[in-house]
Amino acid sequence: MADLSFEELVKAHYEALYRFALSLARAEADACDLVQQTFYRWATKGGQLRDPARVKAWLFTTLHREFLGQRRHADKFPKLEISTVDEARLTAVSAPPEQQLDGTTVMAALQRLDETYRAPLALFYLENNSYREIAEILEVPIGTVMSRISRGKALLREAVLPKADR
Amino acid sequence: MNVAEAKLILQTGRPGDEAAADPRFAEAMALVDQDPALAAWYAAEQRWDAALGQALQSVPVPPDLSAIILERTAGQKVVALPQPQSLSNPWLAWFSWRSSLSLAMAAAIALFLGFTFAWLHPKPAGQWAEYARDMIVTTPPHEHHVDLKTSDLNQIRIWLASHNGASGLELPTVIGTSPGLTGCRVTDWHGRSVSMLCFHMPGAQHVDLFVTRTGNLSDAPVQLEYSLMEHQMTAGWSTGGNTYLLTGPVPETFLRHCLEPQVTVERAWAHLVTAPAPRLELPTTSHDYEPL
Repeated sequence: MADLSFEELVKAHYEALYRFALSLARAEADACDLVQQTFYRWATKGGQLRDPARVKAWLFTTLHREFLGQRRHADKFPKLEISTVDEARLTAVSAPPEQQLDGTTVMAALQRLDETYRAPLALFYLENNSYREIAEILEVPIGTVMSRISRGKALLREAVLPKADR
Repeated sequence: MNVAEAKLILQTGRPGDEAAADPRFAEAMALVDQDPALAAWYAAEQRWDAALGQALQSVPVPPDLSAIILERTAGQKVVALPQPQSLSNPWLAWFSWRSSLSLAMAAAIALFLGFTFAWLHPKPAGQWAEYARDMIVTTPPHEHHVDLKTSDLNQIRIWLASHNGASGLELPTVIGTSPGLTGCRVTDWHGRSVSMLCFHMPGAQHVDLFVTRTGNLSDAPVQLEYSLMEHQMTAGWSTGGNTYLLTGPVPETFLRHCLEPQVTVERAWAHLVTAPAPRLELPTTSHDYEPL
C-alpha cells in the first residue's frame, strides 16, 4: 500500500466513495463534490497518516466529516432544489421482488431513510464493512452501529419491499 | 441467548468478518444449527443482504469522475504515504527521539490550553428533542446495553458516582422500587455525561431512564411531559438539578403509571401483564407533535 501512487489510490477507492457519498448527499453533483473534496484533502493532508493500512478508513471518515460539515452549513443556509426534492418525494418505490432489485431503486430507498441509518447501512452494504470498521469510520461506539444497522435494515426492507413480501 | 438476540447479532455480523471471532456470534450460529426456523430466517437474511449489496454496488458512477479528481489535484503537491523508517541509524533515532519529545511537549501544552478554554467557555446547552432522539436511537442493544449489571439501586448509585455519572437521583416510587432494574451505564452526549438505568418489564419489554444535569439542556422539560419520538413514547421531567427521560416500547399509559406518585409497582406491572401486546398510543397534546 505504501507504494500506491495517488492515481492508483483514486482508482482503487473513488467508486466506493462516490456511492457512499451519493447515499449521504442524495444528489449526484453533491456526491461528486464530496469525493473530490475527500481526495483533495488526501492530496494535501493524507501524508499525516502514519499507518498505510488505514487509508481506506481515513478516506471514508474524511468524506463523512465533509458531509456533516456541509450539512451544518446547509442547515444554516437552507437551499431547496426543486427537481431533486420533487423526485425524492413523489417517486414511489416500485415493489420489485428480491431477485430483481436494481441499484437505482435501492439507492433511492436508502436515501429516503434518516441520516442516522443511511451512513452505517451504506458502509455495510457497499463495502461489506464489519461493524467494527463502520464504528471506526463513523466515529461512534460499536453498540450504536449494531443498533443502527439492525433498525436501518428493517426500515430499508419496508421501503423496498411491498408489505406482502416482508 | 434467545432467538431474538441471535437474530440481532446475525443481522449485523457476517460469517467471514471480525464478528466471527465474537463468542456471541458463535453462540448465535450454534442456535442456527439447532433451530430450523432460525436457519431458514438466516438463509433468507443472507440472500437479502447479498441482493441489496449487489444492487447498491451496481449504482453507476460518473465516468469522468476519476479524471476530474486527478485534474483538480494536479496542481497540488501530493503527499506520499510515509514509508516505514528504520531507526538503525543513530542520528535518525536521535532525531526521532527529539521529535517525539517535542511532540509530547506540544501535546501537553495543547491539552492544558484546551482544558483551560473548556473551563472558561463551557459548552452551550443542547436541545431536549435532539437529546431524547439521540438517546433512543443510539442506545446499544443487548450485551452492550449496560456496563454494570445489578438490580441493587444503591450499588448503581455508587457506581455512577465513581464513573462521572448522575448524582442525587430522585426516582419516582414505581421506578425506584421496581424489581425489573437490571443495570446501568454512563454515556456521553456531545461532551456531557448521561447516565442510563435499564428496567426489564413484563412481556419482554423494557424501559430506559436517562439522567443528565438540567444545565446540559437549553429547554429541559420542567414539568412532566409526554411525547412520541422515534416511534417510542417518552416522558421527560426535571427535579433536583437533573433532567430525566423515561422511554421504551411500552404504551403511554404504562409510562403514566410509572410516574404517578399514588401508583404501586404491582399496579403498573399489572397493566403490562393485562396488555400483552404493547401498542403505542397517540399523543394527547399538540406539543407531542412538534417536529424534531
